[in-house]
Amino acid sequence: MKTRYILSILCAAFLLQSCYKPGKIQIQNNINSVEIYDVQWGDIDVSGSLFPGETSGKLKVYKSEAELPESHIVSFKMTANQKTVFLKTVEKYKLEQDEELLIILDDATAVENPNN
Amino acid sequence: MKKLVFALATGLLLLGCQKDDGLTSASRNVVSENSSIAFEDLLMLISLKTAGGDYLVVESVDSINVFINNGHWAKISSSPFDTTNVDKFALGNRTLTDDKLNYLVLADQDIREPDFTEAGEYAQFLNASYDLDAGEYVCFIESFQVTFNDNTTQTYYPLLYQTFKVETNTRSAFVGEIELNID
Repeated sequence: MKTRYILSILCAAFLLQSCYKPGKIQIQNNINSVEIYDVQWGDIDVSGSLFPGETSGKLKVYKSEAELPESHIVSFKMTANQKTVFLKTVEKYKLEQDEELLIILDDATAVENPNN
Repeated sequence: MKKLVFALATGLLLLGCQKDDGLTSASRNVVSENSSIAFEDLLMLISLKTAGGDYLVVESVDSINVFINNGHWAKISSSPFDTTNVDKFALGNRTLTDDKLNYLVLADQDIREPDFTEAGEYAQFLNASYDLDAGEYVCFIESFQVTFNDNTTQTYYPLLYQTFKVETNTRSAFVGEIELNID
């Protein structure tokens, strides 16, 4: 009886786990004349360095990293001319389960520096 | 009483620690990866010579529009000058002197700082500031303004080129003594 109970719990857990479909996220750098790097969606590292016009690979966001759907800001370091600044988007970007989210950062993207 | 003096002394010390670094928020947040000494300003001495061979006496020469090579560098005024002890005379709406009178111009690079609410504005700011590496450059004085005794202002366009040299790891460069002719 006890074994059956444990098995049913395990099965239920397995079923619940298998129902979770990871979302995919990628970032495109459309900001003129700057490189961005250390790009994060919330606390999740999405991309290393992105040159103008470059798009990152699709990053799968698993349940262990985020309980989708979740909304987070994107933070990144912007560099040009041997100078760098850390920025965060004002807008939060929502990622659903089984969704492919392409976040395009361009000149008009509202950003802030936490130091301001 | 001792406690009061101690508290006051501590307060003064703490106040003394709060220094204004004189940087804008954007400049404070931007990190430079260049380990060499950043070039900051151009130094020049300018004098304003009239057609009669005298020199104009004013408190400052304003709106001096300076370009380096092809890029705009700054639009600045000369350092304010106390003319009280200058041996001078009045002629019409002008004050003149027989002796050459130099005005000091310290020209920091003038970078227009936008509101910094969009990524593109930060990108523009990062790209706008450029360092002058060691080498020869041309300083172009496009225009300047002077205010006469009757508070009228006149803009002059000397369109003058002057070469100067930037040495490695220097914070400033002396462009030279420049005599600008005015009517």
